[in-house]
Amino acid sequence: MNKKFYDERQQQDADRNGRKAFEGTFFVLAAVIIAQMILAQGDVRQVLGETIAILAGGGIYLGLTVKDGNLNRHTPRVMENLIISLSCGVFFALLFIVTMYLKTAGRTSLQVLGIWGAGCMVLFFVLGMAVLTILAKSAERRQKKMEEKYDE
Amino acid sequence: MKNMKLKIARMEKNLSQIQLAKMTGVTRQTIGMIEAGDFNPSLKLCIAICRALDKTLDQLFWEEDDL
Repeated sequence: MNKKFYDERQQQDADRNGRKAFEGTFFVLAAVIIAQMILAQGDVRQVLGETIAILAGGGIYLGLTVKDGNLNRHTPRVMENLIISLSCGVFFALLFIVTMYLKTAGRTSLQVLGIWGAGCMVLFFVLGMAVLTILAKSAERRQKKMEEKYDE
Repeated sequence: MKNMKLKIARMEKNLSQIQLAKMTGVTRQTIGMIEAGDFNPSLKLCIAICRALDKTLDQLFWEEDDL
């Protein structure tokens, strides 16, 4: 057995700790961005660094997950993607409405907020569905390639 | 579940955990954790341990139903 820096138990521990650290960093960054945008009335430019970091980290994680063919534990279900996209749409629409209301110091009418909120929800819903569908298809293709490669 | 078979086999060979660890390319803690049943080694490591102790996989790692 080759002598490595870590043995397999230590490697497993390191991998687990790395994953937890990434998840922690990801959610703290997301919380910091939201808090800065809403509570501190920040500008997008003020959270640009955090946004780039979270997008890069999330993108690399997703990309590697798709590459390994591990995105779908089971056959992708349209209903599951619909629920996730809808949840994201509602969450970001609410976030957008609250941010807009606070930024304009309550001067924006509820009707305008409602229209913008609905638009935001549709946008994120469509975006979510598109991303999830593309990722699911890519993962499916990757899984098929792996099956062909390791077929008896 | 503790792996007493491994511990006994190691002692029969008069090997310390450190010696077995060196022979198999892992740390002493890993051997200790395998013996204590706190870590499931890979098949590759199981085979390395079996070779080091002149035992088969069955002799060291097979769990009988009544155990």
